[in-house]
Amino acid sequence: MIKARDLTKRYEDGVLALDHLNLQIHPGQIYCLLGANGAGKTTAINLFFNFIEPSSGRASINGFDCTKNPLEAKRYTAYVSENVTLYGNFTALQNLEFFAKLGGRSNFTKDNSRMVLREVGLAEECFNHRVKTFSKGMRQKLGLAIAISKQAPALLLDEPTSGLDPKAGADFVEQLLKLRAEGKAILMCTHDVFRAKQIADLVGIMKEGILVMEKTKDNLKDEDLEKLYLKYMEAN
Amino acid sequence: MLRTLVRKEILESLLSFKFLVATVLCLTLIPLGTYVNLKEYEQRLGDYQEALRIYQERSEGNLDLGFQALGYRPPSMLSVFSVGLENVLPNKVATSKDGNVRMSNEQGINNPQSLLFGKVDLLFNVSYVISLLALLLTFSTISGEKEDGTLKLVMSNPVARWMVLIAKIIGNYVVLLIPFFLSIAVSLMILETSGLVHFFSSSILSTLLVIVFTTLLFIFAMLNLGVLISSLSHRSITSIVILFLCWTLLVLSVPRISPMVAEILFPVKSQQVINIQKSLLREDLGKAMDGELGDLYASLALRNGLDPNRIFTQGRTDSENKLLSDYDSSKTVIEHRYEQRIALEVKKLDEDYESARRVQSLVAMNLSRLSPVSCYTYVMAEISFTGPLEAENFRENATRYQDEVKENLYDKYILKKYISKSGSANSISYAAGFNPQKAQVPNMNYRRVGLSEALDREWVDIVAILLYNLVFFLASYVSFLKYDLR
Repeated sequence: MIKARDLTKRYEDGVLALDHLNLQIHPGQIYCLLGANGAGKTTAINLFFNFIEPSSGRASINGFDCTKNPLEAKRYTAYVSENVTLYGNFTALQNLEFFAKLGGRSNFTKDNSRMVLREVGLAEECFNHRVKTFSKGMRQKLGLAIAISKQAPALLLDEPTSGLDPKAGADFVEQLLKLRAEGKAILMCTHDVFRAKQIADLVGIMKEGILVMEKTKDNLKDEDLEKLYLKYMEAN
Repeated sequence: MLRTLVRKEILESLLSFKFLVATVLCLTLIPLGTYVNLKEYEQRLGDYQEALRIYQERSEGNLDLGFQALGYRPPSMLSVFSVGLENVLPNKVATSKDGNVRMSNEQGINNPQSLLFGKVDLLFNVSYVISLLALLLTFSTISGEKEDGTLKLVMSNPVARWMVLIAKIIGNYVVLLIPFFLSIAVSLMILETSGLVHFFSSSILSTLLVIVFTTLLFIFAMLNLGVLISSLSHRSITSIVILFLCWTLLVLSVPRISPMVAEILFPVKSQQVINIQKSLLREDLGKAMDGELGDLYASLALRNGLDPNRIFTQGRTDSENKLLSDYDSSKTVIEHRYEQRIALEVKKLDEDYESARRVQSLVAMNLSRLSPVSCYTYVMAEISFTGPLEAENFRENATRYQDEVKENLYDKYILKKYISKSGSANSISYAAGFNPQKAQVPNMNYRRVGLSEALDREWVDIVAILLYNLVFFLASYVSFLKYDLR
């Protein structure tokens, strides 16, 4: 579903942000991409959404090349960012309705919106509140609701639990597990080693644009992921 | 998809504080400006009617040789939308027997503060206020969304960049037009209820439609510029700096600096200097003519054996009558020659002045067209009959009136001038059938320039505004296609 083959990005200033990234995520899998700031995690997501063009290699979603056929690839991909800001003067329902329609759900109704918002655990009384009054946790829930409403088979999440309180983080993870159970392919970039170990089917560690490690859940069963992560970070 | 994006843009703008500000400003300034200008028009119209009435009363049965026919320019009704040059254009023409037309403005400076700070008419409101509102509404439409992160979320969906850009332009345009049309509707109601200006009469309606069309085109250009500014930066603060720079340059600087540059590059003497030169020329040639006439009189007097220093305006003897008869028939050749020479040299002075002025004006106009605000100003002023074209039109009306009065009145007075070496004497007679007591002074039938004539001249500026739209849009399109969404 989500695939990167020798995906490379070198910026105009010569910085190599991503170096021959190879990964593949199947439906019903969560892939957690770990790495320090500047490791190339967000660059990878930017390439999948064609926000930037690759220097070489190929990113594809559901078989559609993200560079050659970006609109088709985006049809099958939903996105949740680290800071879901949305339109502050719109209510949660208005934001959700807009993005759902933009995602291709032209017949998305208010009832559909309410259902999805309930599903992600947003309090009913907040549905008609302006988003600018929302806490970060509420906004992340709404962001996830937007991603769910798109009914895309692939989800790309860029540090979605960063800055969330433990309860909100746990709620978010619970939703991700539900989505995995529904057969979504999920790529989550994160710093959170604990959560990665908790939910990932595959874990990758990135350093300076290179995927330095990739292990399945089974391979990690007997390993301390945190120590492993630190080992790769400290290695020259 | 486009509909969804446009609806979102409209809703987002409608809910913003900027929309509230735009509505309050438009609904306050445009109707207020219209009302104040309506009152000023009423005042000017009253002054014009009063001046005309007094002049017509005084000129009845008062037609001696020194009589001067006067013409008055009626104020333009459309000055309620664009005051333009209305207060400085000449509003009175004084004709004369010698062919000199004197145009003057007798409105005086009743309200110096108003002249100092300028008028708040529709032209001002659109060029200054709405242009700024258009930029303020759009300057962060891309950079602000990029900053907030919403642009990335929007673009993570299957939506083409051009569609997002067009939605932003259409959405913001619709939102800006709401307060604009509301304030125009209120203004038209004020005008209609005044009973002074009826805009729904067919003759004015077409001009009103052109005004609205040009204004919509201009607002669209400024909106496209705002979107372009937004697509050039990644931060709202940078956009706002570029915005004020562009606004200052296009609205405040280019239109004002262009005529100054033209003045420096192509200096032209003032009309006052030209008038003095013309007076001196007439005076010098008049003296030369008098000299020749004096010589003629002297030689004819000597030939008839009479005293060349004495003027025989009323012939007594045969030789004196013969002298006057010979003089009358010979002097016309000299007078005609000098009249022709004066006319030729005055014409040359006028043509040289006009040609230099035209070059300067052309340079100023073309330089100022670097700003869409100037193009809009030209169109608005010309179709409201308060622009440079109206100045030319007044000059044509004045010349036509002068010719008419000369033919029907001044030429009916036949002035005979007898000049000797020691002095001169005049005698007046009238053309056959002319009775100064019963003569009627022709009124100046002031002919306004038609809308089609104004558009003939102003299509360049309308096309220029269209081109600005195209350039700003294409530039923002190219810029947004390359826009870094990271």
